Amino acid sequence: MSKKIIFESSEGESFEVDEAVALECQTIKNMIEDDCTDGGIPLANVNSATLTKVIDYCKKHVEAAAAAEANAGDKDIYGANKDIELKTWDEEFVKVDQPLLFDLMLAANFLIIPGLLDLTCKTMMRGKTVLQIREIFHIKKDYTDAEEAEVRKENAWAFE
Amino acid sequence: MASREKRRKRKREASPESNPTPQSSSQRKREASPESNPTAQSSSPIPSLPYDLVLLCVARVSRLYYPTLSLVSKSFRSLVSSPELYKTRSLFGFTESCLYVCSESLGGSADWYTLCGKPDKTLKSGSSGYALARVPDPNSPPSVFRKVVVVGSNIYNIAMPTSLNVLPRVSILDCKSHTWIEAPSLPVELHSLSASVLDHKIYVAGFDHRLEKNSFEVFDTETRVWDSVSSHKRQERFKEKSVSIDGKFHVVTEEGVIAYDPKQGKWDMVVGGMCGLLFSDAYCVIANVLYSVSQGVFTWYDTERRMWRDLLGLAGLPNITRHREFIRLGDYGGKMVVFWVHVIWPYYKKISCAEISLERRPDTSEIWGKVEWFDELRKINRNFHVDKVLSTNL
Repeated sequence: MSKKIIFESSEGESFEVDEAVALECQTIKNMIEDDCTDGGIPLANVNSATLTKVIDYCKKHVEAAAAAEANAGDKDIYGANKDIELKTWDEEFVKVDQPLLFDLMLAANFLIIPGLLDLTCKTMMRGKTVLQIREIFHIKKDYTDAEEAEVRKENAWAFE
Repeated sequence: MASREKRRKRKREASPESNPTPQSSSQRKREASPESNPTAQSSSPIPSLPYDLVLLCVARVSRLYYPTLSLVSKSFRSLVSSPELYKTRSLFGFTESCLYVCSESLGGSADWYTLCGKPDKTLKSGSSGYALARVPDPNSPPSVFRKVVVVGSNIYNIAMPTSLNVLPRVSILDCKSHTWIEAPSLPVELHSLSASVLDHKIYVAGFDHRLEKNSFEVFDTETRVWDSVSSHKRQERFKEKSVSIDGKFHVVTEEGVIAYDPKQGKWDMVVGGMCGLLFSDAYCVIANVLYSVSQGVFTWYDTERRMWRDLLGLAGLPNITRHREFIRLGDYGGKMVVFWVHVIWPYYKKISCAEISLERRPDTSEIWGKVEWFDELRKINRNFHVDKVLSTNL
């Protein structure tokens, strides 16, 4: 049986995962190599809802990598299909509300999961209006009213 | 399971960052770093996130969305034009092709636009999701007309002077910061010219109408030095059409096409039908293949058979023959973009664009084009027309 790693969320809830899944996080990988994971890894920055999603992501990507390796011999259309399937899965995975997406990005950055960081960063900022971005990230408008009017006149498409 | 107490002890030792701001260590590093630019990093565009993380995040976003980001706030605007952002994009392999459109007025002024993605919630059904965003305030140097070429992330603008006895001025638009810088002027006076790029060098073939003389100059974009190269001995007058394919600079003359091979340093007459380029309304080179459109018909030049062949497919492309004088072609990361302009007389013009993916079929050596999308991208002043379509790497 594979070795298990225990994560503890900011609420103190424990999550048991296979070591292979935990290794998807570079930060945890370093800790495993330093042999300091006994008794669980407390993640004071990551809440349970986010951690559940992060573990889902890592599991899926470990499984996909294992499947790709198993099929490495006949790398034909099947391999390409797998890629598309994983991409579709990723797209579905980030269809969550903005606060959770934001937390996922922070967790991906903190745990160093490059794939998840890419995915969340791209999703968070693409296809949003100027006002949506200001609202999501609590950004105060620093253009003067006159500048703002000019910007809007020239770029109406970006506002709505 | 380990005891609670033991785990608590581990927590202090093992947790890589037990404080609530995950980026604090890199923040400290940044503040301590002497070479970091204090003005660019002084404030984070997103108050709740450290600058470094916002930088990493924005670097991962397609540049199609940068025009929107730059409208969010001044600090976002300075982030999306900062050298560090482009360094990060390049470091992580996020660079992509970015499309620029130069629109010129009859009076000689030029506006620059870049292709951008519209916000999802503004999209109507059937919309391509693209728009043209005006590049903020990069005043093109004034001139009667201009020739523009791209090397890397820079657009080189060779401006024909408005008076005699003035050398053509060269300016560079840095597409990262959208600022113009001056480069050495062409060393000779020319009254008509064309320019094309080979191996980071800009080749300019031009004609001096007073001296009735051809001139051929090369600009090395790395050393920023102009050099004269001997023009073809037969001296047929250079026309204002040139392309770079097969590692050679091809220029149309009154007698046909001649090609300069920089490796051998010599000119050769190009036998075959390439001189048909003279009648082309618009042309461009994509993946070393020359494409042309004339009277609404798309063709490509088969260098082996030395003849023009039809570009097949193109199902769904609107009939743009009526607007042919405004058609422009461009290479957009290996795909073809076609721009045309519809005049809503006497009010304004509408710029439309189609993106076409190209497939060469090895068995028949045919090239097929598939229309990925087409759409109206923007209205412009009726005194302007689309002059040039360029793709930079950013």
